[in-house]
Amino acid sequence: MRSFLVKAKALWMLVAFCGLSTAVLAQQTVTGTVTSATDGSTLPGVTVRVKGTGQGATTNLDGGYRVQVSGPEAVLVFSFVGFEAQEITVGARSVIDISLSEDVTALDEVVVVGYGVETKRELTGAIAKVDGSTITNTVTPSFEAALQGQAPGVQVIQGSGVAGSGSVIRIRGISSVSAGGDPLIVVDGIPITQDNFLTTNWQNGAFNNNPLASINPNDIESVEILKDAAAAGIYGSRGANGVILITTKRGKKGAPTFNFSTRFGISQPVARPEMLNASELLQLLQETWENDGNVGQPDLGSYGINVDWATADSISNATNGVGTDWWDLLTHNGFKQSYDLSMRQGTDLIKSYVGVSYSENGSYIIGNSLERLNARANLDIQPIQSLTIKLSTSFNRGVNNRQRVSYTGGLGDAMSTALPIYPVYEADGSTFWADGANPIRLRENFRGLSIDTRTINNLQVAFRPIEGLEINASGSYDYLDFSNEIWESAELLNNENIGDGQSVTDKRYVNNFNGNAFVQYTLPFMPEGHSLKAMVGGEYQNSVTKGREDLIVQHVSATPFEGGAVDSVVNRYRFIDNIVRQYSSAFARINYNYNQKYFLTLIGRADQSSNFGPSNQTAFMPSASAAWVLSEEGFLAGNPVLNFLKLRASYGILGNSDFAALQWLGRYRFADINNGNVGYNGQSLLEPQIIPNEDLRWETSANLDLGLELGLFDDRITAEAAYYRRVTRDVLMQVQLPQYSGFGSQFDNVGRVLNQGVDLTVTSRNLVGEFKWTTVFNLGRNYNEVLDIGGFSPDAVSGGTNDTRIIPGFPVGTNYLVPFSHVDPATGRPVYIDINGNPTFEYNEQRDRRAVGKVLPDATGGFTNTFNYKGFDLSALFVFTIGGNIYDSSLKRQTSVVTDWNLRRDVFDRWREPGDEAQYPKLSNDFAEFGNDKEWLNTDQWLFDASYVRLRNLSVGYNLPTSILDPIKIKSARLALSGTNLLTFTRYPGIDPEIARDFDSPTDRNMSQNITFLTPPQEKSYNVSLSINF
Amino acid sequence: MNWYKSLGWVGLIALSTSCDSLFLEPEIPSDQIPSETAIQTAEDAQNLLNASYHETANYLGGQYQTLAELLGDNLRINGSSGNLVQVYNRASDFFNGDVGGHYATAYRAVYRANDIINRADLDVVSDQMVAEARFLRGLAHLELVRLWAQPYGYSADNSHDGIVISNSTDYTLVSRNTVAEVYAFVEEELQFAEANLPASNGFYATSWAAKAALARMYFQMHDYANAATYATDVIENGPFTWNTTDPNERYTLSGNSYDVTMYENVFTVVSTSNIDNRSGFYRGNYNTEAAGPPFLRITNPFGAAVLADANDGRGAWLELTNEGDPNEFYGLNKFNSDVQNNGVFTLTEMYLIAAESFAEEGNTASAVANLNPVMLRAGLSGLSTGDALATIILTAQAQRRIEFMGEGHRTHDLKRLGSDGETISVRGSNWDCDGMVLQFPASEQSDNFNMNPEGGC
Repeated sequence: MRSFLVKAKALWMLVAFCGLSTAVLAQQTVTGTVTSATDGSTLPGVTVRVKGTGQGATTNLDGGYRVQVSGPEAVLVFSFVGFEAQEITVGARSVIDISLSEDVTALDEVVVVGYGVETKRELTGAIAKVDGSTITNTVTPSFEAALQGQAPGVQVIQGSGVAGSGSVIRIRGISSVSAGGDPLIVVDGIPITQDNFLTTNWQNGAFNNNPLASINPNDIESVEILKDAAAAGIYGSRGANGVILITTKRGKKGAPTFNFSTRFGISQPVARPEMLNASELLQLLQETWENDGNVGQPDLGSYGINVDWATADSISNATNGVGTDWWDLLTHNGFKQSYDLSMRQGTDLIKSYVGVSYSENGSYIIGNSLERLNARANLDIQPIQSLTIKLSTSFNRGVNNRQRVSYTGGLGDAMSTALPIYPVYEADGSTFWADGANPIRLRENFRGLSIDTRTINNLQVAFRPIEGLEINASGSYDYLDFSNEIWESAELLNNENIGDGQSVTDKRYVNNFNGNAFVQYTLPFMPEGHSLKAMVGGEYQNSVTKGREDLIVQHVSATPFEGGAVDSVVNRYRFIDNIVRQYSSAFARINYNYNQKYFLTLIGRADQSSNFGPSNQTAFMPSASAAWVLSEEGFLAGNPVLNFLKLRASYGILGNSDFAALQWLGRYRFADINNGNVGYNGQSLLEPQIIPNEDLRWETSANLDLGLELGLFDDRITAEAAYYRRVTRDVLMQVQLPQYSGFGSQFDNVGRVLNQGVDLTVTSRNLVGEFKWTTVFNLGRNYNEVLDIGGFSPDAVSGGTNDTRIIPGFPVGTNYLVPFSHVDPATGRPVYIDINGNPTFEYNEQRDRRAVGKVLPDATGGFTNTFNYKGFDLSALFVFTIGGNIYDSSLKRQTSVVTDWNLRRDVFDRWREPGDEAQYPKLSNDFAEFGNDKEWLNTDQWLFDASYVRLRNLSVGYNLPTSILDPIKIKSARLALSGTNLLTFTRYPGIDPEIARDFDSPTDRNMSQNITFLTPPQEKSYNVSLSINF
Repeated sequence: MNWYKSLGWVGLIALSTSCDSLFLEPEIPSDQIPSETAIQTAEDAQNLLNASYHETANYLGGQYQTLAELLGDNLRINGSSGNLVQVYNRASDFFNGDVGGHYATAYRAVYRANDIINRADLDVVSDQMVAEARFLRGLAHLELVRLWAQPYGYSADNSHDGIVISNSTDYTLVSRNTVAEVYAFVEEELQFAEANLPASNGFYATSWAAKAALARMYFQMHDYANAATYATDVIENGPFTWNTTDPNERYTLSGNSYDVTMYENVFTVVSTSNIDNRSGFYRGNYNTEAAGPPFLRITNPFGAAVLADANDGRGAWLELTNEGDPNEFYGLNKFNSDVQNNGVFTLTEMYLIAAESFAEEGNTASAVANLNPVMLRAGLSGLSTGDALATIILTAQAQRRIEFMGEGHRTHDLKRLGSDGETISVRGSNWDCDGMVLQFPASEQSDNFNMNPEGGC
């Protein structure tokens, strides 16, 4: 390899020498280095032309050049494929270093399309591309969160500020109900494991694990988001919710270049909840007591509050009325750090990218962090001209230190049952106070740890035996080992016999194999102007998830997790059922174009999925698309305003089969008493589990996409607009059966869902030249409607613990609640609206619920402004959500219904005496006063507008000049300051309008974004980063 | 062959994957069996039948008894919210998880029974299994219709809404059958069971259990002649033993080591250990030895009335706590044992059905003969044949109330008497007001299905 490098260098020197020799007559010598503005890497092969002369040079392997010019008035023109050309007047300088910006609008830009690449010009489908640098420039807990606001029609909701929580991504709305609504995620050609294993596991702290968190964002070259049938059609039956293609970095031809990046930051919550302090709470408890017809000091015990009035009063007095500030005790400035080292090199024989990375992402919750360790090696070997072997391998390990949040305690307690009148410690200070919620005690007596170890490997061979023919074969292996442990102390478990506590461990192992082969042939001997390319291939995927649960070990000594002495195994691992997913597919694509003006693409994909019975295993999903580059037509050629115009249209069928395995197969469970089952009366049981449903079939979406791409003023302004309409049929729903059937629920193909909308992106390079200003605006507008649910009632499908419904005529995830009208000025009682529109004091869910809101937004988007001046750059990304509702599910316990919960300061606007017109009813502990003996009244009083605008990312960077870097042998260096979620504008009165709490199931995940229940807010982070290339 | 299948072959050959067929074989979890091959042996069929008993035990392990008891006038409740409070307040709604969940459990028992009955033609399914399944199916329908519908006699021809009769493993969205239809179905099932079940069958259904169930059914239907006949048959001809001194037998026995014929239980839901405990629901709600005060208590007037007669041994079931305080209450300690069996049908019930039924039929001698064993066992003096019929009836009813406190009989009796024309008020409301029947779960809603009236009473 080394000799290759030497030879290559020698070759470049020869070229440079030639350039030199032709310019011996010039009077002034200019030297310098050309780098990429994107990543600071040096650019070899850049043409450096002296304007108005035939003279020039090409940069060498290190990006260096040397030209002779006639004098200070000479102008140098730097140009390179894929980059914007730049003109510089020489002036008095003899050294001119320059960085070239990538030409993002170039029609020759290569876009990954699934089983191949195409140029942007050729595309007939809706694909959004996001560069790796965009992802790394936004500090997020996991790479997918950085896609927020980057592409129209791609809604990204980050789970919360908890380290380790994931995001919900929805592409052009949501059309699935009980099948997975997440896009298919493909890394270097392999659809990777993306399951949320932690669902209903209460003790894990109320957030799902994020299977994408262990992927290193620094390894990502680009992310392509396939949105319509033309784009996602090649993933046919798996593409209905869109596809996210992740391409990792690979070697580039040239001498080894190294990049070292590091970042430090702190994390804070974007806001803190406004809870009552001790004196306020006591005052309101007194008012409650009197409202309920009592006299004297309240009996706090009657509210379930476990301190007496005197103690509470003394805690309040000792702290000037503040009491215990639990939020303050549970949060801090979280610390973040990351280190990333990578190397890229390339010769004719071998190109390689090798990277290692470590990061620690501490959240604002004390004790919560995600550590990530990554290594990647991507090798491209080309032993002979016609053969390329690509080997990609990565190792990722994510260690998530979990804390209980939300309804499981911790920060959730701080917003509910951990009252400011509760102490942290007993009066003598020696032990934790334990008579009520004490999240500090919980934190010190609980540990949660989930470890994600995964390796994604891919071997791909491309063979080009003759001109135009390429045979590809690839095999991939994605292994994920997920382990989750929780440990609780003897004190927390109230069990003195277990010394150092008890731990519970769950494990999942996923072996995901994928093999595909495809042949691509560009037909030779086509008539002038015609071009025809055909691709045909097959794919097989087999993913097996194995698992073990509930290993319960009690420790007598030593630290948990460190393999200390074990007293006894209380419960051995229980093996859980293997989940097997198999797909067998065949696909073909034909690309035709005439004169690079008229494009036609036909795609067909047939898939078999083991999730369906014999008669419905195979589905065929075709799509057709066309594009017309109008600007190539004579009547537009040379138009001074419009330099590019393309129209495109596509129609196709896409499918989804991502739901619980084997639901079509009726089956019984054998509860064998000889295998650990209890049975009845000491006898084994054979229990019906699933009603057979051989008709179960693919969920299919018919997609129409009409698009327009536009370039104005020599691409100073580019725009892309698309209208889409997707009707999904045979929607898979887990419907509640009438219980007289003897079964609780069943998966069935029920109903239809419509999504239609508009995606719009406008990029404007407002200023070019030395001071650059670029604006990118994108917006995705989506209208969602459930067209039909096959006669089932609104309660037939519900989103787990969250509270939304599927109702014809309304969107997926409709808030179906009793409408609240006002607080009765005479009595202070809440007034509801009954089903006939009449006011009533009675809260009657059975009679009065109706569709009052929706969790899906009308539109989402992003707005980015980037400024460059000399070495400085400034970028601001605003993201926004318009429309939709937030259901603040915990507010019903934080206002007028007085129990053992703390209240929010919102309750200051409450009824106190007859005649008061207030937002909240009178305080009372008598639930009947609120219209029902239930404590939890779900009304639209807790429903809010979900619109917000947020300054998602603000970064300022400075590229150090080469005059400083050259002496220390550094090619480029960038220092940057950035902040995320710095500002939020919203009318939502809760903590944070960006909400995706934990989900019990895919149904829940599809229906229940924007439902909050003591959910921790997003984080705000401040970061400093340094990136060095050498 | 479709063209894309050809393509599939090309692709798969290119992959060199060994794939004999394009059909992907399902990989079934090791503890699961496809429906088609699930019932191959008599043992498989027996296990399926066991699964129906298992669910029967899950709704008769105190669940249905407690739901019924909450609607009556024996209990007071410690708390102001929750599912059981709703039932007590006679305002159960369709989101009540306890009400809906226990409703579903009985239908699961029915589904499993239907599954056996549907397979009656198989050699591995014996006639006895079918008879047991029909017993379980009939019993479930009887208990469901008593809680989720107005009682027999509420309308003159019993054409009012009952529950859905489930006699198949297929389901469609159907309407509720009438109460008349449901009782006719229950009668047919229990009579078949009576004729085809063996007299002895361990803890499982016997012809005696079927007779006892028929006695209870006819008693509820005001058919006192048949009720007396069946109850007497069980008392006189059954193998069960009457303990003349201890009324606690049926609550304290547990485990499957005992000889069923040694005791008074005609049909029992059996608990074998801490982890196979079918009495947890009772214990959870009543236990007087738990850390906190019990959730369900006996009303003060009723508790005081029982304790007023110092001779009544059943007074030992009551524990007066906080005496003289405003929060004085009577705890019920019948269900304090960690693990206990539940006598679903007992000789006690048969005696008391027989006593009241004979009295209703004007047969004083038989009425007294059946009432006195229960009274004498409790330490009371019995009645004599010289007592008036009305006295005998009232005494029998009072004895039922005391014997079965906590077990739900009282509510069904109040409804039985109300639907027989008596003026019955339960905690200030009519015996047939809306909330005296439980609401169906939300899942039952469809255009065909009438939910019970909303709003309670």
